[in-house]
Amino acid sequence: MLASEVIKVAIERPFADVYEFLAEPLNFATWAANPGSSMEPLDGGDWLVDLPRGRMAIRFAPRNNFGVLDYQVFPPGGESRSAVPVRLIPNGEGAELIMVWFQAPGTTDERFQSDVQWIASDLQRLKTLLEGG
Amino acid sequence: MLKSQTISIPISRPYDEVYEFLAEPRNFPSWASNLGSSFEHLSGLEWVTQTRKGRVILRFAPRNEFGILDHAVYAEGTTPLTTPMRLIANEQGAEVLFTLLQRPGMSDEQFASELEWVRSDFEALRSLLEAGAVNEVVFHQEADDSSHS
Repeated sequence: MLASEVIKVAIERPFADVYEFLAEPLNFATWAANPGSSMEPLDGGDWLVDLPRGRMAIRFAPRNNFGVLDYQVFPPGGESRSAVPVRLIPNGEGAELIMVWFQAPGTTDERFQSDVQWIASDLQRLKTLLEGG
Repeated sequence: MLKSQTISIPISRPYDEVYEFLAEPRNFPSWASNLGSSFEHLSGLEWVTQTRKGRVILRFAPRNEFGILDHAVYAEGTTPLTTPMRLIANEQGAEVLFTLLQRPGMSDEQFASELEWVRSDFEALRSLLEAGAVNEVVFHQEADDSSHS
């Protein structure tokens, strides 16, 4: 099994609003991709997006009643990878986004911790974006 | 918003096996001391049990493909409080994610103590499953196992 880290952020906005925002693939580029990146639709419901690790294909979980927002990132035309587990849960009048990041084989501890910090800062950007609106 | 803590419990058993075990409410008393030991089926997804805090009703999430194992716990006539729980795959194993919310009226000490209960329950679950003791306890039959293997 891989080492993993739970990364979360509390967002002071109603669960339904946050879920709607996150379930729309076009919004992904506004907080989780390279600045100025856009989402380009691919066949079969996948998307192309510019991430720090390059131009990648991304596949989102279908809409559901559980707040599940898993996604898979893989090279365009390549095989899909195991999903990044992401879930939104209600918390009082707000919501919490909970992600699990796995330490992929071959990733050093330093690199893993740096990735975790990177994701945490993405989640902070999401929080600022949604709470400011 | 309420203070919350999310804990992750790795279990070195295949995801499908752990999900089958956890999706069956009758298996809960074998590890979740927090939820009492006298599970009785009410109807549909609802069960009743006797806990440290008295008689409570448990409402489980329907079976689903996302590994969601939420359960709402409430005394009759009160508002159900849903506890978010999810099983995720981690290579050949699985991880349980459990979020404990500090409910209104719950002191920091009670919250910390509740968290300790939960942790020890999950340790019991991990031991039970990793020891391979599941076959003796599991109620959900192997009828659909072929589709998972």
